[in-house]
Formats: sequence, C-alpha cells, structure tokens
Amino acid sequence: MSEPTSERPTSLPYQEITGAQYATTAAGNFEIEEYKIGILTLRGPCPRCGAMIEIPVVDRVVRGVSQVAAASPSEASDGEPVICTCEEPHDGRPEGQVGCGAYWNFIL
Amino acid sequence: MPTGTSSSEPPLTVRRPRPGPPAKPEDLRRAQQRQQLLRTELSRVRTAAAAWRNGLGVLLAGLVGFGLIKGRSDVSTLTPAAAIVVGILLLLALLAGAMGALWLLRASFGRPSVVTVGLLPPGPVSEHQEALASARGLRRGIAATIACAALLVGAVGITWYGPPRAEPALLVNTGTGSVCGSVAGVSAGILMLETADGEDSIWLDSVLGMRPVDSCP
Repeated sequence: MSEPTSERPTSLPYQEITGAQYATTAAGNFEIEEYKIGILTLRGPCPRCGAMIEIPVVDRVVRGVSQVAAASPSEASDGEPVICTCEEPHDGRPEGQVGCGAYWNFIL
Repeated sequence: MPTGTSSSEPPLTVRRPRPGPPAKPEDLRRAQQRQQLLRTELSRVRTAAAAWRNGLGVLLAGLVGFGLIKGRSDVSTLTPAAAIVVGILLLLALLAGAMGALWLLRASFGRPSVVTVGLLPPGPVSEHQEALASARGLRRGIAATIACAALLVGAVGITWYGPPRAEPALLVNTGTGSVCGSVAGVSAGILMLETADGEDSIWLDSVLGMRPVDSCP
C-alpha cells in the first residue's frame, strides 16, 4: 500500500495512501514541539514525498462550515491522525487540498 | 498555512512521537477536516468580523431612525433623577460603542504590535493564535455593540417616557394661610395659581409673602 520515499516530491502524483511503515518512519524523523500550553507542532519530513512539513496540533479551533465531511470519532482510530500538508505540486490533487495524500497515525 | 517550516522561538519542550495504530480512511477525513479548519480559520474570522462590523454599523445607524419619530429630546425637561439615569446610559453606550468598535477593528485587521522576530512562534501556530484572538475580539465586539444599541434605546426611551420635571411653583402666604401652585397668570391685581385642588385666585393685596419652590409640599 505504500511507496518508496526516495522520489522527489514533485514526481509523485497525489494519492490518498497509508502504510504501517509511514507511522514508523515518520516517528523516527518527526519532532513534537510545544510552544504554548495546548499548542503542539509536529515537524518533520513526509514519509512519502519527503517534503518538510509543520503541522500544528491544537485542542481548539475556530468553528466554521467545512466542506470536508467529518469522520465520526467512533469510526476513527485511536491516536493523532496526520496527513502530509506540503504545498509541493502533486498531480491529481483535489482543489482545496494540500499534501501528497499520505496519512498515518501518531501517538503523541 | 500548515506547511513548510519557519524560524521561530525555541520550543518549550521537544520530544518524538510514537507510531500509532494503522490508519483508516476515517482518520484521513478527520485529519483533512482539521487541517482545512486550521488553514482557513484566520481568513474565516477576518471575513466574519468584516461582515459583523458592517451589519452592526447598519444597526447603530438605524437607531438614527428614532429621530424620525419625534419624542421628547431635551433631558432638561426630565426630573433630575431621570436626567441622571439618561446621562449614565449615554455614557455607558459611548463606552460600549467605543470598545465594540475597537474589538471589531481588532478582529478585522489584527493588532499593529511590534514583536521580536526571534520570539515569534512558527507560522501555523502564530496564525492559529491570531485566529483565536480575533475570534475572541469578534465575540466581545458583537456583545459590546449590541449593548451599546440597547443602552441607546434605553436612554431614548427614558427621555421620551420618563417623568417630566415639575413646573416651578410659588408658595404664597396670604396671612390666612399658604397656597402653593404654579402661576397660571396675573390679571387685575389677581394672582391665579394652578394648585393640586384646581385653580385658585388670590388678591395680590392680601399677599404677605411669596417664594419659589421646586415642588409644593
């Protein structure tokens, strides 16, 4: 289900994909930085496209209408879901989305 | 917003995450939703603040429409107590309006503060904090502006329907007793007073003394 990570970011098409080694690889390369109480930042290279990404992990967000359907908490896995949020070009990426499509879970 | 890295203040703590359980498509949707909310929250707050600012401005401007329906407009015609209440309401309305305007402007455009670059948190964190602060300013601005409108309506209402100041009265001593009332007129040596019991006519020749009073005993 996963792909090698040696390719350049721009050479990979957008694909919503995960794999067990994504979480393992990313866990070895990512750092959790805490700047304020309740505000963490995940920083590291995407395990699929290799782009350096920085993802805030917050406990509150300004509510608003989202075009993305919410996943019910009961359906989601335990852990912190993470997606690649790079803005490198990836062919086939849907309008309004970011990243290369890779996703995985962390335990923070 | 949530991409790339930026120079920033040193974090309080740094640690490594642990691999989580296998991810499911629901995890992807959840993460996408969060990222979209985070990525757009500052622009959404700014847009909402501009809309609220314009809407509340129209609401306050609409209060000017009260002027089209004429009522009492001079607080000096109210009793002193009512005039003081109107004054306090107008002062509070002014303060609430000024605070509301400042909060709404802060929510719309941010605060023009100067900070040390090295103390800035990373861009995504900084934007999130700004979005939260702007949302807080927007909520406060809405509340303060609505309070301003309510206080203005209260002040106008009391001015219209509050108790009027009593007419100046004259306490007249005629030797046989005292008569108190407002002056209705003087004619042919007769002083006419509007008293609580009706109009009373008093020969000026019989008047031993008189003095103005705020209200009749």
